[in-house]
Amino acid sequence: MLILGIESATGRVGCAIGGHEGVRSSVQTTRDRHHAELLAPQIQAACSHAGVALQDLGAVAVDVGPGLYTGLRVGVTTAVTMAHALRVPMVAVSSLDLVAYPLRHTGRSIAVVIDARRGEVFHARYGCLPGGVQRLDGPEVGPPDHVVSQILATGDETLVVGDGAERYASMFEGLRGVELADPGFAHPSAESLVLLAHALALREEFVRPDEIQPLYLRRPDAQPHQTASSS
Amino acid sequence: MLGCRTAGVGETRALGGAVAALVDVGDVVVLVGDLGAGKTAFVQGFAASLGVTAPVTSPTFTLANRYEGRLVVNHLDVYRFDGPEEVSDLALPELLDDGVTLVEWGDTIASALPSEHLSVTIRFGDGDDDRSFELRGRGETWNRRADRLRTALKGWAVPC
Amino acid sequence: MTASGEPILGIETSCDETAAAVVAGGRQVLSSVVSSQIDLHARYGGVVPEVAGRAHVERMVPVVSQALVESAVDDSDIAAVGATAGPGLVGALLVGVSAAKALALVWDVPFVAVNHLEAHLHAAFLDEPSLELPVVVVLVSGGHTMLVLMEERLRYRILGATVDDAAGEAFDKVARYMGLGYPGGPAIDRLSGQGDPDAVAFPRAMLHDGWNFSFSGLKTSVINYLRRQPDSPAADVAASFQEAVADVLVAKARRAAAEHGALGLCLAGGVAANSRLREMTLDACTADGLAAYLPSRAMCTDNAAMVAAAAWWRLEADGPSPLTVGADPSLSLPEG
Repeated sequence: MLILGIESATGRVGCAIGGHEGVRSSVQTTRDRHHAELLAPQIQAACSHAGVALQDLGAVAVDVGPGLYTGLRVGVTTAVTMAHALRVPMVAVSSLDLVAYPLRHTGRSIAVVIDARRGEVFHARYGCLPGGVQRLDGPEVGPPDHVVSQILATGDETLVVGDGAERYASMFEGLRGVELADPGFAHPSAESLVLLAHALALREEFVRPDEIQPLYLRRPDAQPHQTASSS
Repeated sequence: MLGCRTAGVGETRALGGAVAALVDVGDVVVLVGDLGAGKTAFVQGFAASLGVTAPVTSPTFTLANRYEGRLVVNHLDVYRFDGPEEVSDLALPELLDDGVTLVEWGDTIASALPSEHLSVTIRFGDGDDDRSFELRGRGETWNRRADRLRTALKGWAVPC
Repeated sequence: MTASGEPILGIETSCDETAAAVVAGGRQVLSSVVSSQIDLHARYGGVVPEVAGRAHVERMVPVVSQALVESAVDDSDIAAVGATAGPGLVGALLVGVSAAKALALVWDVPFVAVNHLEAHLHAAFLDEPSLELPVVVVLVSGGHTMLVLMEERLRYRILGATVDDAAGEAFDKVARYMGLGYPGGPAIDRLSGQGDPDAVAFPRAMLHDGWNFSFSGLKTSVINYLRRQPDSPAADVAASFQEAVADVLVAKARRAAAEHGALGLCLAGGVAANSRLREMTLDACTADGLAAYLPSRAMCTDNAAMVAAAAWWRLEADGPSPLTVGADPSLSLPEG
């Protein structure tokens, strides 16, 4: 089954096409805030490079977040609308899973930290299994020092990865047993999306386009932070 | 906490302009006050002082207007929101890092805004054109600016 | 380029609404679906989640599906897909633009980025195909108040605009202050019918001064009046306020028509539904020998039929938009 994967949750936007033989083509760009301008041409290019037409697709996979609202909306809307028009099922994968996936051979715990702005990060912790990763904690949103406390509390050897890990690198550097992953792994990739989605598709873990909802994680009515002193 | 008085929309604008001289990227100003109090007038003066030349109109229906001056000025109005769940439509976390953000009726979405902000409350005075202001800076970044704010607003200050 | 008569799907998500419509040849409305006006649960088989706020992402597919079903046009016969690219709220615009591009890719048809203000100008033609140009358009809604000289179907000049509040917003806020409920415009309209429009002489800001408008002072004036005289008959206050708004809009519009040799006056935008504004416009046109174009309520408020119509005209004139066009929250009316 040929799958188109659409990924736009963070500063990177891209898509990939692949099937049982792996990824056939992928196009991605890391350039903040231009998702709406880049994604549709990327999809055209990916199809052209792979030598496929959209009508050949068996499913559309999408990164449902968490991430930034504007980028997520572009990717989710594009994916849902395409799947609906093509009358094919969808596969939903979280951005945090996507960042962890390429590091599945590390043997250590993986802490994925995605920038949520406002001094906060989206985060989750994973363990490695044969062929994949398993989420152990999260997803949550909170200040990066919560992530530090959590990691230290586990006492595990941990690989920290994500654009949030890059942004708050100084908080993770020098911690015992903690290593920052190469910055090249910081963003979710559409290629990982297609590979993961293919595995889910084999298990028929599809969703209907109308069942897809972006994973924002922030509750708008959450309790305010402890009131800062006023002047 | 600072108290001020203005007599007329021109003075309200000037007050906004004086506050603008102290802001930087990432700052948030929450504007509180009834209909007609002068929240938009405050923003007009604020934006003009940052070099915005475009007309600053009320964002009540557009929800968010964005102006470019010395800084990006995000001018929001959540008057029409029925509840906090509508806040996601503003993409606030991305917006706030962009420039300085002013939110009319921002007290109604307090939990979605940074706890560090300047709150400006405007009340009607005795005459039709009189207004009284209460400015309250919350958080360390505003505590540090308290003296400069007091100096900047000296011309309109009243004891409180 | 489409052959004339071919159906175009239009999508509108600039602010509050999620709307889709199919319009043929830029003039024949085959369907027009506006999410706030239909029960999505009932129509879409109960799978639309209960979401508050604008929920454009969740409503996009159900609204587009409904528009296609009602139009009885097959997916494969849609000739192009247009969507509002601006002005508006960026998070909302992105949903419409993304959906339109996705459909354009799947159906292999052109994508057309549409200007929301231009779409409002085209709305009048959907109700009045025989509209003769040039006309002066008074575009008045909650978010916009502008005076536009429409010289040709795709050539306009902005003569003036509000420097503070839009007229529709003034209606809404005065209604709120008076406790009249939401939406404020229709509430004031209804109440004014029982009131005396000359009871209170509210200020007509900038009446003889240039082409711009200002309604913030009028709003504050009504509020101050009510604070001082809370027992004034509400109907009189409403009627007097409404009169002041209509007075300024019509006075400038007819002055503009005279100065630019326009053949008619045209109302557009949500406030165009106001009965006193329509009546005053009609009277002014009769007196000045102008044609009066007063679109239906459905065409005044935000909808996608006007987007589909504007898309047809732009496609004919300029060809498809590149897929690299994004949302532009500050897009202004292209002046020619």
